[in-house]
Amino acid sequence: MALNILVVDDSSTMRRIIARTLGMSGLPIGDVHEALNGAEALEILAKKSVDLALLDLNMPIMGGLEALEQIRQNQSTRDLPVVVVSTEGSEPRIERVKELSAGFVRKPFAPENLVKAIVIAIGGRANDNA
Amino acid sequence: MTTPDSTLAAVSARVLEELCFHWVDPDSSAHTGGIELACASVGFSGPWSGRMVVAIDKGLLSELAANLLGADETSEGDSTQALLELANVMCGNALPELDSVTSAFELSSPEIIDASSAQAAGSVVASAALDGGKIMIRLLRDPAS
Repeated sequence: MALNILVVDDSSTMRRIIARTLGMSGLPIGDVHEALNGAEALEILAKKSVDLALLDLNMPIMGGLEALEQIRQNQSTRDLPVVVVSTEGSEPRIERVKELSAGFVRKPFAPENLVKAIVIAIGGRANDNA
Repeated sequence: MTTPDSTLAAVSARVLEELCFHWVDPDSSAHTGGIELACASVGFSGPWSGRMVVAIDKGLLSELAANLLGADETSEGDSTQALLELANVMCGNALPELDSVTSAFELSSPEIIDASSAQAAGSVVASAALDGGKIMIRLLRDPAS
C-alpha cells in the first residue's frame, strides 16, 4: 500500500529536494501533498488521508512546533508519524521535538538519512509494495 | 585557534558540501571587485538578534542551484529560491556553533536584498569569504541587542 506523505516547508527548494529524495527512496510513495506552513498542514490533514508528515519548524504564520502540538492534541491525527526536518540546533528545543515526533533530521541532510528516519517512523509499512 | 570567522567559514563550507555538493576553500583575503553578486538576508532573534547576509557570485549560484535541485538546468527563479534556502540553512547551522547549543533562536523568512545592503555597516560577529570571494557570509548583530 502506497504511503501518502505531507511535506511542510516554506521553502520551495526544500520541498523539491524532499520530493526528489522520496522519489528515489525505493519506498512505496503515493500522493505527496505540500504545505507552506503549519496552518496549511493542519487544513490538509483534516481533509486528506496522510500516512506520514515531514515537518519544518521555522515557518511563517504557524511554525512546526505549534503544528506538531496541535497534531498530537487532535484525536484523528495524534498517532500520525511525523519526522521533523529542520535547521534547528537548540538542544532543548530538539529534545522537545523528539518527545512529540517520530524523528528529527537536521538540515542539511544526506538523502539516506531522511529515508532512514522515514523507515523508522513508519515501521513495517516500509516493506509494503506499492 | 578557532575564531568566530573560522567557525563561520567551516559551517558554511560544510553546508555547501552537504546541500550543494560544492567543495570550497576558505579565503579570507578574497577580492570581489567585478563580481556580480546575488544577496540574501536572514533575520533572527533569541538571546541576541541580528541577521546573516549571504552573497554569492551569480554564475556560481546557478551551478549551486543545479546541484541542490539535481537538475541539469535551472531558471533564475530556481537560483533565487536556492539562495534563500542556502542562507536559511547556513544561519540555522551557524548560530548554535557561534553562540551555544542550549540557546534557541527564531529565524525569520530569508529575503533577497541589494548587494549594496549586503555591504552595510553593522556590528560584525563573524565574516567569511569562500571560493576566492565568490561566496561571502557575514553575521551581524543588531546594535540594540
